[in-house]
Amino acid sequence: MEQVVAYADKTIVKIEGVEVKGLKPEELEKKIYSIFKRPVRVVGVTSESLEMDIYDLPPERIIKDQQGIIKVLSLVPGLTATEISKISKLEKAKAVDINDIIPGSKYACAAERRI
Amino acid sequence: MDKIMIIPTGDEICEGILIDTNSPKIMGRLIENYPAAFITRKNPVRDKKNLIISAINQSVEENYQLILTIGGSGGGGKSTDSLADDYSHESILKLASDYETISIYGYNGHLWSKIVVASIDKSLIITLPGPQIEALAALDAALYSINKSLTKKEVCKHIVDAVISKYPQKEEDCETRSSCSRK
Repeated sequence: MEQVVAYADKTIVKIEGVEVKGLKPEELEKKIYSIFKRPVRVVGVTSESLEMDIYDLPPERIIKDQQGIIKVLSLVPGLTATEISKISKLEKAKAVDINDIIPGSKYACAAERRI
Repeated sequence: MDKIMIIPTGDEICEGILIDTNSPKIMGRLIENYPAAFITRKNPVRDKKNLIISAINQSVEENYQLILTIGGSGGGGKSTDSLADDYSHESILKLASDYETISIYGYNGHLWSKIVVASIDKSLIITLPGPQIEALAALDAALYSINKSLTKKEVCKHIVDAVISKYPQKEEDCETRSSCSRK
């Protein structure tokens, strides 16, 4: 079992109150990229919420552009922003010491990739 | 490579919430590399370990030489309600005794992606991450490595390097913890 720790400074963003059906995730990633010019990965999607990782960008910058993000959502096919659309989770991933990562094949972390 | 199976996974794909745009792109790259191959895209499999195992088993029994699973390669929602569980890697590790695997963690300690390259009978099975940019990078690395007849361990390392290369990185922040393999 080999384990690699990759540098990835990211902010986790969850948006609720949207309607999702027939979304092509890379189209959303491109739209969000057009705002921030930073890599974006859609990591979790339900019919009414989105979770994304935005790399190399502090949460403060995302808060500042919150309305811009919500507006952009409606421009993405398969995605509809509603009156209750809001950012419900916004947190910067905290660094841990490599030695704190539990070794072993059974270990899987809490909150990474869904897709 | 004569017979190749693509297995997309994920409840959100099955329900049409997300469109599986990965499979056609992966299919295209496979056709470029193996123009004479018989390439199949299986109907998407839900995030259930038994269903993924069944899909892989069936593909092995049908003598697919290369089986690619898409998605379900991270830590998922094992302790976070907002994310679904990821089972592709676990399913393959449960089935195969001959494999190589490398886990990529974010610097926050979260499992980012677990790449598995395994053999069962005459089938080579590889996990591809769900985000498209990673999936295609992983696929290109896998095809390059396979065409060079590299070992499973080398294939796995090439895939991991390709996936990591798609993110902003600082050299000093990349560390390798330990390594071993199992046959």
